[in-house]
This record gives sequence, structure tokens and C-alpha cells, in this order.
Amino acid sequence: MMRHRSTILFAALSLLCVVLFALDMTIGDMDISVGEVFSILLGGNADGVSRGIIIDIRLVKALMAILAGAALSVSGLQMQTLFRNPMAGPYTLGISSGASLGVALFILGAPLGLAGSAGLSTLGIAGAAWLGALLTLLSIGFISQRIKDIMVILIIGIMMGSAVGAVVQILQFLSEEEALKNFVVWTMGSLGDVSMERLSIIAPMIIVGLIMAVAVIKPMNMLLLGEGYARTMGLNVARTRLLILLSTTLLAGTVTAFCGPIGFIGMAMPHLARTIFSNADHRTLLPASALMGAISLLVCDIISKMYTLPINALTALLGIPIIIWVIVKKKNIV
Amino acid sequence: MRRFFIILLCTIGWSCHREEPFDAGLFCEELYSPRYATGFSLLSTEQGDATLLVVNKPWQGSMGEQRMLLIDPEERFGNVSHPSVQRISGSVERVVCLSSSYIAMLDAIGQVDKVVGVSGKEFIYNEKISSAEHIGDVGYDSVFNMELLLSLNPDLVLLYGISAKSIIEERLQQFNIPYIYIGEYLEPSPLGKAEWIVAIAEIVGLREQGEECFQHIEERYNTLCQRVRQHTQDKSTLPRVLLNTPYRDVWYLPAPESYMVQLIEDAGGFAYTEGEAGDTTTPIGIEQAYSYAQEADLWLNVGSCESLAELKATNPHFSSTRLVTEQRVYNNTLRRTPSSGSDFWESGVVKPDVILEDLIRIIHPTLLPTEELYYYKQLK
Repeated sequence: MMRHRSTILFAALSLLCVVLFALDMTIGDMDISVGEVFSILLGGNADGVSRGIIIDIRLVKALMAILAGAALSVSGLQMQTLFRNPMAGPYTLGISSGASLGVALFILGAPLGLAGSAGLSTLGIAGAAWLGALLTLLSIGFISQRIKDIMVILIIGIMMGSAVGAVVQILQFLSEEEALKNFVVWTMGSLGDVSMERLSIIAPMIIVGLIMAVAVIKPMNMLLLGEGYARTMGLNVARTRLLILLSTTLLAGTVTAFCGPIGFIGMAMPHLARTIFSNADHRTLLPASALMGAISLLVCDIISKMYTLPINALTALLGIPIIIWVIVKKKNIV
Repeated sequence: MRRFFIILLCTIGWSCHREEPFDAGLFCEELYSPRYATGFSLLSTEQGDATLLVVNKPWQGSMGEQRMLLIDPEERFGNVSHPSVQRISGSVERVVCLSSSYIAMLDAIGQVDKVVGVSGKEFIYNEKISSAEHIGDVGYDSVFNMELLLSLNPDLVLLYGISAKSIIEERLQQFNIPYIYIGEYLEPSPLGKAEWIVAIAEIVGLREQGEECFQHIEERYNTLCQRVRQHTQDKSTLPRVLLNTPYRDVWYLPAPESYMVQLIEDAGGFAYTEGEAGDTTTPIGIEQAYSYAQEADLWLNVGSCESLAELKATNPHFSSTRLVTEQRVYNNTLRRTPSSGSDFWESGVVKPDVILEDLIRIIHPTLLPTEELYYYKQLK
């Protein structure tokens, strides 16, 4: 009965995803007829401008929405299980702060004499963000090898995030208007700064991250019972933590590097998946979260295109009511 | 008896005190009426012993609020207590400039040694300022150094507001330091911006020199415009120019009749614009920008990008356009300080003719004899 229900839900959600994808392809600020959109997608001939818009702009953005949504939700799910904390998300360990610091040094680095530094500019914003996220996670990984208690790691992660945030504030305070606006716009997140070439780098990284997440499904199920119990069942907890951290680096780190920090999806979608599927088994939850994440970012992208709004505002407006609804509806969450 | 003499002396002394209370109505003679600028006017009294510089648009959206500077070398008037009038008596020898364009204006009339304080020294291109150690840097925005400003003992502070009055205004009032808003950046016309040289010249007592300087600029500019008109009168389409770069998903295009647009049109080009005349910039969606990029002939003012590689990295969607592949991208950053201070926005304000020449060389390369570009560089 349970499996039957899950199958129907998966089918329905997949269909919704496809419909939203199609909708995302037809909406944009240039009027292109639906027929033309599909003929271009199916390889037909059309004038260069329309073709360029459909393939290079809309298709890339829609694919990015699906990948980012899936990556963030799965990463959020992993964090929630690892820390056994319903408020955890992909940025719990300070990844978005680390990435912000990288980007802040890149864009606002003028007071420190970093602006115009040739080495940094070839990296680009994405590189700087990825480096920042990676360094944060390496520090956390290093600490987690030494410390047994996961709660301490969580607290250290949050504190590091705050410290980095303070440094970014100083950089913002000392910088001038143009640089400041550039930085603030980066923090609002955007799915549109990606090209086909970059997608060919992003997609494999996210797919590898997802595969790693699938590999730890069973350990994650065991962790639900508590770390002590999981250990007695033979689980190598240290190795599992490492795999989860690596997977999160690839998933959340890559998305943040190329799209800026996109909040709330990672935290809200696993909860929504749990409620809809009434199941805490990660074999169901992982694909379900990924699917819900993709759907939610497609919805946000469509709305952001219709009303020219930054993606972060929309994910917050979408995510917060969901979290509140979930908390109110169901008292026990994990 | 002694008391009577004291009272008599005081009365005589007080009646010898010739200072009048300030009255704007006394300034009815137009000393200089700007031909292109709309943001200021210079009035004088009938006797010609005092001048009033009226800035009627001190900041964006000022809605009729004015700022005035009373230039009173013969000390006809006493201290003015009107909130929007500042008074300077005697000559102005120590000036603090909060915008680099004011430095350029002073330099144009040979008075740059009067500058004792600037805002953001590392962004100033003028070598006489950037290499002078005695010139203080009072900072900008949130890191403004009031103590340093006071220690410089300025006779006048030249400042600006963006969309509201400057936050420094109150503090200057508190310490009785005279100031005036110079709103040249609000002028959409290139010659209108340059015309503020006359206002600055009047402040330092060299108005005629300022007028002469501006006349030269005006003549050169208009001559160039004439040549362009003759060259393009039988052309059906003008080269199309795309301006600026996007902030992520949004591209801000300038409004019709704004500064860059006027320069490009005077140089015989067509600039893509958005919004109503009088707006600053208006956003368009990335898809519309993409379609403009496909048909444009030139791409100008690409932010801080110095090379095509940088441009492609920050704007991946546009890397495959003809603009990039055929190297039709130019940026106005040929003259900049190591900290990205741009001379285009500094001396460019008083050299619209030089900017126009650059643009003509870019847009209609065959019209003028080949020479190096001054403010612009082609991105490679």
C-alpha cells in the first residue's frame, strides 16, 4: 500500500516537473511562440536570435534550476540527518559564508589591495566562491576528524559562519558603491549567470555529488537511530560523516559558487517530502527531496522571470510558509 | 560722564557698521546665463559688488530645494543665517573637493593648487593631486573623516548629494564651514556639464577666464558635431551602440537624452535606450539585451572589464556575439588609477570635445585623421 502510494506520488511529481520545465521554457521577456520554442528544442531551424535565447538563456536556466533544486534539497536532507536537527540545511556548516567571503574578497577586495590582482580575476567570481566554500568545509572536515560529538561540530560550523560574516561586513563597510552593489546583487542569488559551457562543469559535479549521496542512503538510515546505535550495528560513523561532507561540498558548494547563496530550498524541501510521502526512509526521501527541490526552483524561476525578482526573495517566500505549515501540521519532525 | 562717552562711542561704532542683512531679491542682474547647463545660475547685485551662485538642482529629486553660495569679497553682507545659503567673504584659497570632477574643473582654469582636501585620493587621476602629500583624504560615505577636514582649515567645501542631501551638510553647518553643492553630474548635456567651469571660476574670482575656457570647449565640440552631421546626412542607418553590462540577470540601459546617449548621438551613432527622458537608467530583461547584442555594431562602457577574456567570464551569454568575436568592444578605462579611479569621469567632464573625438573615431573611423584614443581603449 505504501509503495503503491509512493509510486503514484513519484509519477505525479515527475509529471509536474516536466510541465513546469516546459512552462519555464515558454516564459521570458521576449515573446516567442510555444510552437517555435518546441521546434527549436527539437532541433529545428530558427533565426539566430530566438535560437540563442531559447538554448543559451532559457534552457540553461531551466536546467540549472533543476540541478540546483535537486542539489540543495539533497544536501539539506543529508545535513538534517547528520545533525539530527530539523533546522539544518545545506548552509549549516557555513558554506554560504565561506563562499561569500571568497566573493567579497574578489569584488570588494579593493581596500586590501586585492582588486585587479591578476591571479584572482582569472578565477572569476565562481572560482572565488568555490574556493571559499571548499576552505570552510576543509576546516570543518579537519575538525570533525578530531571531535566525536556532532553537536560540537555543528556549533563550531555556525560560529565560523558568523566570524566569516563579520569579516564580510567589514569589507562591505570599507568599499564604494559600485562594488557594494555588485556584491549585494550576488548575495541575492541568480540562476541566470550560467552558460552552456559552465553547465558542462556544473552538471557532472552535481551528478557526482548526488551519486555520493545515494551511496550513503543506508548509512543515513542507520544514523536516524542515533549514532551510538548505528555504531553498534557496524557503521563506520567517521567515514560516513566524511562522505556526507564531501557530497555536500560538491552539491551546495557548486550551486553557491555559480548561483550565489539560494536559501530555504535545502531546509524546506526535505520536510515537505517527508510530509507528502509520510516516510523517513532515505530510499524514498532522497529522490523525493531532489524532485521537490527541482520543482520548487522551477516555480521560483518562472515567477522571478514574470516579475523580475531576485531568486532568493522568492525561495524565502516559498520556503517559509512550507516550514511553518510542516511544523504546525506534524509535531514530530525527524 | 564716562558712561555717556561709552554709549556715544558704541552708537557711532554701530552706525559705522555697514553690513546689510542678506536678501536674495537684491541679486537681480544675471551675471552669466548658462547656455547648456540647467542646474545653476550666476546673479549679481546691481552694484556688482557681490555674486550669488544659485544651484537649483543640488541632488536628484531635489524638488525645488536650492542651495546658494553668496560670494561677498567686499563684505557687504553679514553672516547669513538662512539654511540654504552659505557665504564666503574674501578669496577662496583652500578648497576641499569631494568629487574628482571638481578637481578637473579647477585644473582647467589653472587653480588646482587651491585644492587642500579630496575624497578618495587613490581614485584621483590628476597627478598634481595624487602625488601631493600635503593634500588630505577625507574619505567618503561611511568612513568620512571630519577631524581631518577640520584640520585642513578649508575656506570652502565642494560637495554633492545623490538622491538626498549630503550627510556631511549638517556637520559642515555645525562647524561653520562654507560649502556649495556642485551638481554637474545631473546635467545630461555634455556641454552642460563642462559649463560648470564658469561657476567654479566665479567662486575663485576668475569668471572671465572660466568663460573663455568654456567657449573654446564649446567651439571645438560644435565643430566636431557639424562634421559628423555632414558625414551622416546621407546615411540611412547609423552604427548601433550597446552600453553597459548587466548586474546578473538585469541590464540597465540609459534613458534617452542622457549623457552617454547624447555623446553617442553627437558622434553619429545610435544608442539603445530604455525608459523616459529624465530617468537615469531603466532595467531590461536579459533576453531583450541578448537580442540587442545580436544586432549591435559596437559595445561600449563595459564596466570594469579590461580584456575580452574578463568580459566573457563575467558575461557568458554574450561571448558568442559578433561584438565579442570581432573585437568591437571598447571601454572608457584607458586612463585609470591602480585603484580603478577613472579619468573619464574626472577630466572627461571638462573635455567633452576629447570624448566626442574618441567616440567619432570608434563609430566613424574614416571621418577623422587616425590618432590614438584618449579615454577609450579597444578590448582585446
